[in-house]
Amino acid sequence: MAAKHPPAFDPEAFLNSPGVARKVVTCAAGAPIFAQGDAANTVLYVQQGRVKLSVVSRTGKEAVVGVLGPGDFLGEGALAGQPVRLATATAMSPSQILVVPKRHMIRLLHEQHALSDRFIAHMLARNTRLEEDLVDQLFNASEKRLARTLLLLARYGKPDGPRQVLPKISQEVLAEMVGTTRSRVNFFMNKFRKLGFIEYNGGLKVHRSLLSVVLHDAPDPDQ
Amino acid sequence: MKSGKKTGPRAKGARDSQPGFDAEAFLKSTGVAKRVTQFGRGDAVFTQGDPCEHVLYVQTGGVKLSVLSKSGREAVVAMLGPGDFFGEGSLAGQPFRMGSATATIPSTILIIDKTEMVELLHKQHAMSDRFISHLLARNIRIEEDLVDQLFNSSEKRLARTLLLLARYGKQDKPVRVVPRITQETLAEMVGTTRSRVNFFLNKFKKLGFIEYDGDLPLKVNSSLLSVVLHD
Repeated sequence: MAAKHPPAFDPEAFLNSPGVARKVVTCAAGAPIFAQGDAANTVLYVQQGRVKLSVVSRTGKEAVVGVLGPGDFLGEGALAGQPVRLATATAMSPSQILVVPKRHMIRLLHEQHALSDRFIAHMLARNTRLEEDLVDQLFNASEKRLARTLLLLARYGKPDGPRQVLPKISQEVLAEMVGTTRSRVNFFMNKFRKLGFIEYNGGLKVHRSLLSVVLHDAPDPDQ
Repeated sequence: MKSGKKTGPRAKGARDSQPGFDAEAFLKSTGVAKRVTQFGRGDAVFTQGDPCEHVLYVQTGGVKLSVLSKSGREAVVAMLGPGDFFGEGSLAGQPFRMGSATATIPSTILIIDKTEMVELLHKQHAMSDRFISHLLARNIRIEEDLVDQLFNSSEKRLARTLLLLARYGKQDKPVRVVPRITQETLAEMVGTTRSRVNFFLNKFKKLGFIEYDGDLPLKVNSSLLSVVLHD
């Protein structure tokens, strides 16, 4: 989208460097970046690592609404006037996060085309993914949703994928991403393993054959 | 209303460098590289599988975005109104439409060529500001819908859908009257069956949460909020 415009502003350089009016924080695996209910006055950007976005219901159920990686923004709801964070962001691996004050971000988005192009591209990708997740919920059985989640985590269909061995992820987190229970996840993981779709000893390996679960349109036993 | 100014290197104060461009005026007017088309109620604006060549904008009316599964089930992913963009997936490089857009009432739709839109977003601050706020609002709504699916029962989801259709929680006052909508469409929005929708609508009516008489427009009372708020 951003054709090379003469001198000026390089969003990648900006987003990957520390400097004035923004800071870079380093988070260990499992460390919270912000929590649901915190005041929302910054926009954040993942320079390195992986971040989980999750929401907790009043009854204490947790749902994962996104897993973000390098190049993704988070906390952008602040720009839409959300006074508090509606989700919790947690580092899943050691991460480097750029924190930009909301006012500063609004000004930059307005003044710097290269950054607004970059931000629009992020939002489009994020909305597409969320919409797909929503459609997946509306249509598919939990078995299929789990298969799709694993394939996406292994970056099937991405230009830089597939990456067959997945970073460590617990069955609890998978259950929260899929919208089912841990015991169901365990059951389907064992089934996938027996069928040779996945392997686990230490890391989790996802084979291309797992695609068959997603692509076949078998009747949904859950529905 | 295009200013003939060249967009050169961006410096501070760029905010005022393009006084000529008014995003609202542009989006409400007709002109080059974009066109305005009228659609009747039920008309397809685009269909799942069509090539993605445009970004669209609702000037007046209402548009339903839906997705069809391979087995023929339909899910409604959004109900849009004046001021909303749609079909913006084309900007993310989607070659084909992932869903269908249908006019739910007579609508005036602005159709902007994809390449023109990319250029406008890059050059016109007012336009990119406007588009970013659309994307943010849309993002929040889809995320909420997803959380709703992950957490809530279909009864609660139906109550939430009705309240949102009646514009509870919006800046302008609730309209109370939900625009004409079939039980099928409600079922596709909520992710349940028509018979469940019928069952819950009758339940809500008995409890006085809604006023509902078959085909007539449905009225939502604020007491319906109790279904959503109680755990």
